[in-house]
Amino acid sequence: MKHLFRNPIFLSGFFIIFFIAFVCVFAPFITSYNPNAINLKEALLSPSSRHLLGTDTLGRDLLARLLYGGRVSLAVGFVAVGISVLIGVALGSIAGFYGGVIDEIISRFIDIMLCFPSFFLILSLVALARHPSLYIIMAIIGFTSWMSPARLIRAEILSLRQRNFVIAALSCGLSQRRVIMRHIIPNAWGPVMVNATLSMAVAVLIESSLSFLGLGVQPPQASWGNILLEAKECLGVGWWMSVFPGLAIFFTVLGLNLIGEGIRESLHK
Amino acid sequence: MLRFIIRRLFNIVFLLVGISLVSFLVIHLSPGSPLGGVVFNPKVSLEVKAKLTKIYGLDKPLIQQYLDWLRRIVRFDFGVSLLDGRRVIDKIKERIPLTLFINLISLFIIFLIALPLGIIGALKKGSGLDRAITVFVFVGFSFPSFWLALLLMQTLAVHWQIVPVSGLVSVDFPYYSWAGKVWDLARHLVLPIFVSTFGALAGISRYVREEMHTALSSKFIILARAKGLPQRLILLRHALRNALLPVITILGLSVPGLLGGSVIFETIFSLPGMGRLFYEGVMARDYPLIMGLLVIGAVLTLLGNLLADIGYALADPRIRYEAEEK
Repeated sequence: MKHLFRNPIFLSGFFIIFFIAFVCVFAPFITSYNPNAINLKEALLSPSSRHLLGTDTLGRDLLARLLYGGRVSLAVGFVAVGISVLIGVALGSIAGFYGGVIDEIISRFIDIMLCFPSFFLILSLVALARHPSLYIIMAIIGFTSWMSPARLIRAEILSLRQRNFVIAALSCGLSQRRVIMRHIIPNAWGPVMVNATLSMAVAVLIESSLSFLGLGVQPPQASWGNILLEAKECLGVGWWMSVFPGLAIFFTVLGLNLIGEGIRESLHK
Repeated sequence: MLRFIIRRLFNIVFLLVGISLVSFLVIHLSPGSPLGGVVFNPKVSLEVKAKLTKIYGLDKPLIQQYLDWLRRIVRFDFGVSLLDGRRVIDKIKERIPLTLFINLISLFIIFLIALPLGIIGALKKGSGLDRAITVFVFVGFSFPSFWLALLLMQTLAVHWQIVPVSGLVSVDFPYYSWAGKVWDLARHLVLPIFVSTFGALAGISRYVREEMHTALSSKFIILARAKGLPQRLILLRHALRNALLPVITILGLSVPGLLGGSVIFETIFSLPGMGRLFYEGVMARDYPLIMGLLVIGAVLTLLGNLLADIGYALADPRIRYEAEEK
């Protein structure tokens, strides 16, 4: 932990994400506009002191939509990664610790799942869900991205279980469950955290891509992706509509990537 | 070598069965019927619904349905599209070439740029140049490809009107001369290829850098230096050859990512490729088409993996011999 907060890469990522999360969570204190309040008299205004980032085609304040939309994007990323890490750690540690037939079954299943282009799989599930709500999108992204944490933790455990402290714990008569939960998983945690932050970056990108294609978060609820979709529909007017949401996505993903890289570096020290 | 390929083929048959099973379950175990909106459509009579159920075999047990479906898809028969009644495989077939063409070109460009970037980064690790490349890599990683597409469209296509906004060819394409046609196609494909290249470039150049660095710090390079080989030979003959092996693999493994990316940029630029077909299928809830594309996408991924493996085995004698000994 000490290493981590001295690592400049981690720190810069941490501050970016902290800032974005802070302004999104405290959105009502930063802007007084309602993100969904339509005011056609003020449609497509360029940035000014009244509307800091301008307004969209329906006269909604862009800053308000960005801040409230950020809540959606961050929440989707966070929950989706939570689901994928939970499934991945469970399956991966079972496969790695028990080995044999169980390992064979789980590993082959991972191989099969990895054959599907993940965006194809996600889109198929979105199509099946008919009217994808926020929760369904979180679940879909989570259920299609657990394979890499699973593989990672399996490999970690395979190497950890040869180590003396695990052999010692087992020979002391501790139950296997306890050894996995108390001794192995905490030691495999670092690489999993790296993987989790990097996959949260990917999850934010996937959510905004889906919303940009009109298949994710549905209007009037704002998300960075669907604001960009609106910008695409009035291409050529209102540059602020296509620049600011993109910047928000870019900095969020960059921040998460930096955090992941920072943790990776400090693990190797 | 033969044994190696046979062993791989066994594995592939197993994976193909798995792919078919997962695709089947995804469609059939989800809420809602594979018939899609028809079930809830009040304009469709009960008899028609019953008939459709019978045609698609939805009244049979699930295992039977799967086996029937499997029997059809090994002949690439995915049924007909719900949208226009055309055979799914025909619809896919006419869309594959464009997607493959764009992706192969961008893979080629990626390779061309990532290799020198990675090598420079590894050689001058920690220098200003390396840092600049690293920053570029992080920016590239984090840049949403659809945003890049949107910005390029807005500036280059709408504002300055240097390139067309979208589509594959201009309206008066049939009247152009041969050279005019090529030029028109190129103008339409410049932005899509740039966008699809940009997304993957960062990751792969980072990868080349890591591999090159590992190769450069291994003992045989120290030996080569000690016996006085010129730097150029050390670099090209010894380090690069070893660093290239994992790079071959990563190119093969990048197929699923590229296919997923195709959905995004083909949709944005209205290009009639496989990715846009998938998007259209999803929008129309055209389940036979979605299922067909899901299976074809997985098969293409598998093919990429296989090519990577064979390329690796051809390039690395250690793997070849190991496989022969077994």
